Amino acid sequence: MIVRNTVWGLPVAVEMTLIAVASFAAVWAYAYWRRGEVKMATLGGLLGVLLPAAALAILASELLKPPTAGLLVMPLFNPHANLESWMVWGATGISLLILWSLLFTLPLIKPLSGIAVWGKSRIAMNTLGVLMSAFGIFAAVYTGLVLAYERGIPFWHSATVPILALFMGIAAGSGVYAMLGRRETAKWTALGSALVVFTWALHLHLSSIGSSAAAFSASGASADPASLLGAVLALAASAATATNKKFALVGGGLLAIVAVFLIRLALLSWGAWEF
Amino acid sequence: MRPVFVIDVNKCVGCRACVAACIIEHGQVFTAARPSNRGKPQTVKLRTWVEWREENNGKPSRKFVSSLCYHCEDTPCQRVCPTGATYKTPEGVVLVDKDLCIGCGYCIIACPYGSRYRPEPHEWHEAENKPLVKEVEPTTQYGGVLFKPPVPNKWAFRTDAVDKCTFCYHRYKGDGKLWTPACVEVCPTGSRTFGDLDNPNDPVADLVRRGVAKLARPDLKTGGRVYYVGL
Repeated sequence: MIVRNTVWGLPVAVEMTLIAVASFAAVWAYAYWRRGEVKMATLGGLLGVLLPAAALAILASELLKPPTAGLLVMPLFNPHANLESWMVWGATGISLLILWSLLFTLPLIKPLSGIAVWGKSRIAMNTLGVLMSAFGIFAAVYTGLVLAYERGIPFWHSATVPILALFMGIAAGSGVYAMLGRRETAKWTALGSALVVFTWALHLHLSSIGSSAAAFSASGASADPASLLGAVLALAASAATATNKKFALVGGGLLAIVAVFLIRLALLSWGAWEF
Repeated sequence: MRPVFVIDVNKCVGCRACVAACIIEHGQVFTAARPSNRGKPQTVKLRTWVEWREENNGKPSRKFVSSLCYHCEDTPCQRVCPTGATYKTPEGVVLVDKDLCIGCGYCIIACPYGSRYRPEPHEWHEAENKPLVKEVEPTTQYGGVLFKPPVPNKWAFRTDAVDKCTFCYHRYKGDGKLWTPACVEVCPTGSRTFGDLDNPNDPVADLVRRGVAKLARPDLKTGGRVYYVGL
């Protein structure tokens, strides 16, 4: 008997998309700071704080216990926390991404620069920037690893899933800056979106020749409007952001983020067990 | 002591006395049969359940296959549980610490047997608002909500934690002697039996040792303490 996943659905897709956007927005924030573009760096840093915080809030609101019980996932608050679980590392990593992004961004905000004195030290800012970028990349990959780790759902238990998650981070995070007409990130949005479509298609193909539950998921996801529309939008985003026209970059960036959400939704909603 | 569960499929008549006994013992919310849920994809909503499989190899036949948590040797649910709520007793019974469980659902995702479920808020709100057993209308037979306080124990059904079979571990007195789970106690045909793998004279464990009783899914390599005869 094949049973579709109804445990992790729309809220998790939203949460993972927010993390995907934040992940590479944080990476770009550091890159812009290195180039001396403080406004752009501040934007990425703020997204690195706000979006993961919103994602964790969504996760916490989905729990059966009061949202504060979500703290039990952190080894800091729970001595029984299971270090074998990816969720522990993910929640800790995302929390640290918020922390590094906050520390990186505070000195960039004018009224706060007097209080955030570490901003005057280039070494401190470089260290925070590297940490923020590393944890951003980790957060993107984590959204795939958490699904791929266990074999309960064969459609998710695949090496292509964390790779797909990484490309989703590149596409969505760079897409934010493409929406602002930044050409240097638009190239990455184009590349990321194209790789998302390629990896998604590869994943569907590999699943279709896998176990019967994986084949069921692949067949369903292939015909799912979310998947089809997501792939079309990702290709459109790739084509639009590959041009040098500002209007196309804005639209392409937006399409890239929407495409990431739709493909993620299809991936989650077509997960299935075979009992 | 290593408790083991053996289910003889040939003896099961699908009466679901085991399911009822389990619900009553642990105070679970039972809404799977509500008319409003008909036609919707069903995940397992109880600690134990019975499904039927129909075959037609020249002669039509029907088998009733009852299921529960397999209490795996290699436990995916324990591995992914972020808060350490899922644990294993020295006897090998896999349990959930209901105070530590936050209901994230990762164990449900990881379990390849569908043995865990998360109480849905709309279900327990409905259950809480109804007294014990709802008097059903003739047209909505079996569509009511059955809810009663469980036999007090720390692994009983709770609305704020993931739920699963405990092998009725609360009946174990800690004296090294085998106990009898509620479902085994009520099974009218002796389809469900419970034994001790460490007892060389145990007839139930002997079925496992002789290879008469087999794991349902040895291909998943999780091992387990639930074996089937005639599957």
